[in-house]
Amino acid sequence: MRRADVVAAIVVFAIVVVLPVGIFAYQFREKPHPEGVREITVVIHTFENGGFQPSRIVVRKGERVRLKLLSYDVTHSFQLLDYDIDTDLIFPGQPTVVEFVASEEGTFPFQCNVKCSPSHQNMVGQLIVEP
Amino acid sequence: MEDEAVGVKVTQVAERKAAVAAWKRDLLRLVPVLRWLVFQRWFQFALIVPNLLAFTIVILSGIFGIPVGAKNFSIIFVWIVWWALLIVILVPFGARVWCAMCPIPAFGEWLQRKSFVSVTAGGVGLGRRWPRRLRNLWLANFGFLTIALFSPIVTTRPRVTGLLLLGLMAVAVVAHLVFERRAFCRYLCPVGGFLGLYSMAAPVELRRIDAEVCRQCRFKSCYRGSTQESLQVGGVGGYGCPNFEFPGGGMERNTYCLLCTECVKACPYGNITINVRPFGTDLLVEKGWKLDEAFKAFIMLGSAILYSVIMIGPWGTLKDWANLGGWGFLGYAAMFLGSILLLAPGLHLGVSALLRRVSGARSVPLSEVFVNTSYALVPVGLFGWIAFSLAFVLPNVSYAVSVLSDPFGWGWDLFGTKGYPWTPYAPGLVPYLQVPLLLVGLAWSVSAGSGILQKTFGEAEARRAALPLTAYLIGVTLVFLALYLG
Repeated sequence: MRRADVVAAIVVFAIVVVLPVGIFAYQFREKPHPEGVREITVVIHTFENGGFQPSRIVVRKGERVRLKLLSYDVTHSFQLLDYDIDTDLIFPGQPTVVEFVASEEGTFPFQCNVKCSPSHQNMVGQLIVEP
Repeated sequence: MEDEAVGVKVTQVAERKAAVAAWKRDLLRLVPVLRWLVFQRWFQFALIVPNLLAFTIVILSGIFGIPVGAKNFSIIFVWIVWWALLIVILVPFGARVWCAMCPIPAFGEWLQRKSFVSVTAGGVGLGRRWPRRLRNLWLANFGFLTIALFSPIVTTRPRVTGLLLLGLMAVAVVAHLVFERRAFCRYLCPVGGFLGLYSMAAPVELRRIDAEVCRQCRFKSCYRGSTQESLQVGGVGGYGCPNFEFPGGGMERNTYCLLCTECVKACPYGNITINVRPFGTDLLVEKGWKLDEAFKAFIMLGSAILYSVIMIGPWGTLKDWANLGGWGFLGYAAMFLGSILLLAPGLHLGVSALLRRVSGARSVPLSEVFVNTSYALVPVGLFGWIAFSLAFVLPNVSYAVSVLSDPFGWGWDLFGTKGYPWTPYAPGLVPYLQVPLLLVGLAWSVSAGSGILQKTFGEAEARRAALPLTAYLIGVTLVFLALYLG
């Protein structure tokens, strides 16, 4: 193999292997929490396409939680009223971040407050704060 | 033998001057940097790499990114940016130069050659010959029509776009491993067929310089590829034409030339070059006029009109049907395929019969008139596509700024442009661009049609047939104008 082919092979490998691995590693890596913040990405679809993902969020009491809310289809919103959280509209591709301290134990419902599809009423999930 | 070759090489200098003297200009002489680039083995690889990078992101973002088209790199970069570059710039001015940099067949070709850059003797694959009965554009036409039928889905659903490109790459790999050369590009690629048709209008061409040099050449390296023997005479080493063309044997049209420049590198006499020339030169080259290409002209013209109706027209129900809207889709499919495969050819057949009758040239077969005059539809079709593309590219291209920073819709902001708002550019200007474009296409089609009639019927008969052909072309243009101006 000539030198030009070796260089070309490295370039192709970088594009079709290293790049995708890098992209997914960057997106789905364990986020560092220098301030002790637990970051969780919540992807939101219409109920027909999966609803909240995850729809069950489990944290520890006392943890500082940062939810990155990302709509994947239409306009949604996010209400976690027990923690006084009620976002503005969440547009596709424009993540909304909410942050709170899980100060109380228990199971708390959250929901979408925008009529996002015919099955909007099912757009619910649970925040579980464990001791 | 070697003296003969040297003799040929010497006469080639004078012949080159004669060949380019009249109206063609040898681009490789005019632009020394381009000449230097073309003779580098890595040139095509360097063209492919940025597109491979973009297509990799397109496939990944299409499959794994946000399903909202306007927020996903795959939809914006394939159907807005790439399409606009292709139809507005690359094809009208650069012929099939896209094919030289297309990443879709790249993996197949690299496997087949067992090399990325250098010329190797043996490769991987069965190397079978493409079946004789399929040596035409019918499969490519079928592929294009299938994608065109589902285009309202393909062009708005990122996952479908990503899977489509991945699927095309997979088909290309299989084709390269089973058949010789780039059979995929020549006979299967749904894009290649129309690129070939419209590249006839482009002002560049790859051609031999001196026919006599090629007649005396015993290597035929432009078709067979370089050999040790040919390299002793000259050339930097290249593969035989991957698209089954024979530039030294008198290739006279751009239709199947991928501009990969392998023949330029392979020719031991430096007798193949890239010329600039007047627009549309190939439309009057009779050699190669065929029914499959004629149908490609109908498919492209018909698609441009139907897309204008479905995608930017005011008929919402039709758009719903096209978006797989229940049983209505069957009605849309019947209308789409019926218009392109029956109505357009049927209308053209009627016009051809009229032309034949009016011209008085009854000895010319109707089938010949039908095929030949279809090439007059190339300019009006090309400009119809450009006009249609402006209608959705200018209003939507601003999305590209935003998705560049966040290709997957995951909330990234790589270049700080994620927040760039949707900004329709010059929306009021679009009709003022479309009308002159369509009129230029019409004038060009009328001019090309006149030449085609002369070649088909003879001069006096062609004069008689010119009026009905012009009326036909005006009718086609009026359909576009009615759709765009309301």
